[in-house]
Formats: sequence, structure tokens, C-alpha cells
Amino acid sequence: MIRLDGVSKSYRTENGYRVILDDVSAVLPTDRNIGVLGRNGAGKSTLLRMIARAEAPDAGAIDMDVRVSWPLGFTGGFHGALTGRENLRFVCRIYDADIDNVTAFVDDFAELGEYFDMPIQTLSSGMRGRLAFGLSLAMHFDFYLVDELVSVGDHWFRAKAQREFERIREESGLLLVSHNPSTIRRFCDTGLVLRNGALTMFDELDDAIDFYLDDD
Amino acid sequence: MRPAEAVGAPNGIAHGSQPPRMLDFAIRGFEVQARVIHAVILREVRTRFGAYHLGYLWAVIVPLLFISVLTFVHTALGRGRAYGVPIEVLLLSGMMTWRTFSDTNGQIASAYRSNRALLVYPMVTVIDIVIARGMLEFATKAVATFIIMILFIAAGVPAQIDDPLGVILGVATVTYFAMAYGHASGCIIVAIPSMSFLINSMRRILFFTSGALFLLSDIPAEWREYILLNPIAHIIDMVRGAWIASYSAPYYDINYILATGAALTVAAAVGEMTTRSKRMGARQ
Repeated sequence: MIRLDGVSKSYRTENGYRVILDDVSAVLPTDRNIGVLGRNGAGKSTLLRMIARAEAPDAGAIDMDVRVSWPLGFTGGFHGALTGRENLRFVCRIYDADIDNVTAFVDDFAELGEYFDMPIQTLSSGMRGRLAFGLSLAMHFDFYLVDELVSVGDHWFRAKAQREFERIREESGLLLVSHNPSTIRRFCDTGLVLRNGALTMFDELDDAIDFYLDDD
Repeated sequence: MRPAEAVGAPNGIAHGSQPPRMLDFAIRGFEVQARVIHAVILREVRTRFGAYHLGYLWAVIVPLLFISVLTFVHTALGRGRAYGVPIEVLLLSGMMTWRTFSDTNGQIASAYRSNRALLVYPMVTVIDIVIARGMLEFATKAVATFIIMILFIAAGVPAQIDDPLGVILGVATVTYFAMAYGHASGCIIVAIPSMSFLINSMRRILFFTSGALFLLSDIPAEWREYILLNPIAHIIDMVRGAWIASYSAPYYDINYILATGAALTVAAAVGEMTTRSKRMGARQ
């Protein structure tokens, strides 16, 4: 599970502070597929990055007893001058994963062909997305963080990616951030609503969506 | 095919319900950090020196150029030798020590900006990148110094290092100073961006008072005590003494080096703690 304990986070903007989380304590089950609903700018992506430990809360702590992925579809962790294969080796080293196995899986999954050995900066964003997605699958995380499914491109709609995504939903847990309730409805079974610095959890997804749509 | 389940827990997080003991935690954290530093070093070698490692050549050429010009100036001023060795040997020992400080410091200052992407991986911290870059810079400078020494000897200049251990210790010390000073000043710039002007000026002052360009004995005693406020001047004197047996290195004070090193370590640690969330939050 992922435990948020008195977590606060805000950003300074030109119009003063924008509060994203205000002293939030919650326990997120990591064996469920959780949808995070919130309006644009509510701080959904920031919440996701804090859970990914790519960003620190201003106050409070986030603890977890499972291995959590980096935000899926996120390709900013690659070094542009290095090839896909070299970036993969780096990620394997820091996660202590078997380089040969992961390379074989990603090479087969991402279908980059000769681009696998070209610098990342020469790859299209779709290719980078396939590489990052394949790599995160190969890492066998316990819990996957997904920021806006649409942002990872058309490959989501390919059968192989869809199959792997279903496998994640079955075998691991999932936290999916979206401002679109129908995306959440399709992939998730429980829901969280982020609004005005508060995080509200619902066991039933429909209740979360009702609460989200009921915002005036 | 499926990759094997060969993936360890990240960042010292333990599996299972048994509460891990503190020692296990520390050892696990240490293992992870060693792994991360190793991976960052390999990555830095590839990105900095390129596929053909031509970048290493610059580490040799740049100091050679510097020393040639300085030797020319000193010779033109009528001094070809001091302390029983050619002036270029004194300049070489000072210049390699200074450049180790200066280049490592530059590497650390840009460590955060150029590796920001890495911080998306939860086990990678800025400290890991600082340590990786410092170790890599030390190794690069050690190899470059050795090569230049061989080139000098081949050219007939008696540049052999008389006390290799002392020189290695001195260069390691200056690398550590560069890491702590670089990280502390990096944190100051994150907190107060306008301080970067002051910090750049500071680097120049440190250079001109370091003794890389001159000999401390050339300076009148009443000015020398001001020069010796610069800990790098102490370290350079120490390295010169180790490199050249006939130079007794009377000016450096090991206690001053240790005290300023400790102060820089504290400054870097305080900077790290106070700016951590700001540095992470800056990423959008």
C-alpha cells in the first residue's frame, strides 16, 4: 500500500500560492486499479510525481511497501545523446535488473529495429513512448503510475500494448490520472478525486465520478 | 519472452511485513547508492567523452597549453628554475591541482541541470551525481597528470613525481573540496539565483590566489597571509612539496585544510537539506 501522511504541497504562482494538497492523509491500495479524477491544474500530475518520488512534498511523508513505476509514458528519464540500448542498460543498472533479459524483451516489444541503437534524440516521440513503456513492463513493477493514457500515443491501441496493459491491470496495481471520466471508467475499479487541496477516496468508482462531475 | 524476476527493491524499501532493522536498511541503502553511482559514472563516460573517447585528449592538451604559456612568461621574466627544478615542473604541479579543483567544481555546478532527468528514478539523488562526477573527474585528472608527466620526461624535463602517494592524496583532497564547494554553491544558487555572479567572481579570486600561477615564496610575507586564507593555496603547496622532493612546502597547514574541508562539508550538507524540495519541485 501507499500511505500519505499529512502531505502538503503547493506552488508559488504570480497570484500567490496554489495549494495542491493540504495536509492530506490517505492509504492507497496497491492491488486495485485506481483512477484519479480532477480538473486541469488541480495537481493530479504533481500527486503522481510525488508518489513516484520524483518530487518531494513540502510537508508530510509518502511511504510505500511496493515497487512503484516511474510515470508511464514518461520519456524524460532518457538521455538524448545515448541510444535506446544504452539508456536501457542504465535503467537496468540502477534497478538491479538483468540487462540481457530486459534488452531481449524490450527489443521484441518496442519494435524499434535499428533505431534501438540510435541516439534517443533521433527517435520520434512514438518510438520513445514504446521504448519507455516496454522498459517499464520489463521492470515488473508492483504498481504502475499512468499519466493521461492519450499522451503515450497511438501504440496504446495496438493489440500487443493493449494486452500488456491488461496484464498490468490483472497482475499489478494501477494509478491512472485523467481528466476524462470515460477513460477512468474503462480501466479502473476504484476512484480518487483531487479537489481544492483535498483527496477524497471512493470504494465505488461510480461514486467518485458522480462526486467529480458534481463540482460547481 | 518475459524478463526474469531479477529486479531488486528500490531505494532500500523492504518487501514483506517484517520491519527491517536499521542496519539492514543502511546496508541496503549503501548497496543501492553504490549501484547508482556506478551506473551514473558509466553513463557520464559515454556522454562526456563520446563514443571514441576523444574528450580525454582535451584533458591532456588544455593543461599543456596553459603550462607552455606560463613557462614562456616566467622564462621571459628571467626565471627558468626554482628550488632546483625547472619552473615548468612547479607550474605543472600547481596547474594540475588547480584544474582538478576548477573542472570538478564546474562539473558539480552543472550536475543538477544536466542530469535533472535522472531524478525521475527514485533511487537517484543529486548526491549520487555529485559523487559520480567527482570520482570520474579525479580519475580523468589522475590519468591526464600521469600522461603529461611522461610527456615532460620524454621531452627531457625532470618532472617525475617524487612522492606519488602524497600527490594522489593532495589531488583527492582538492577533488573533495571541489565537490563540497560545488554542491554548496549550487544549493546557494538554487535558493538565491542572483548569487551566481558572486560565486563566479569567487572562483576567479580563488584561482588568482591559489598559487597555480606563481610561487608562494614570491609573495611578500605580509600579503602571503591573505593568500593563505585560500585553502586551495594550501593544497597546491602540499602537492608541490610531494611532487618535488627539493621543495620543502613550508606554507601549507594541514589543520587549516582539514578545518576548511569540514566547514565546506557542513555547508554542503546544510544546503542539501534546505534546498532539497526546492530543487526537486523546480521540475515541471
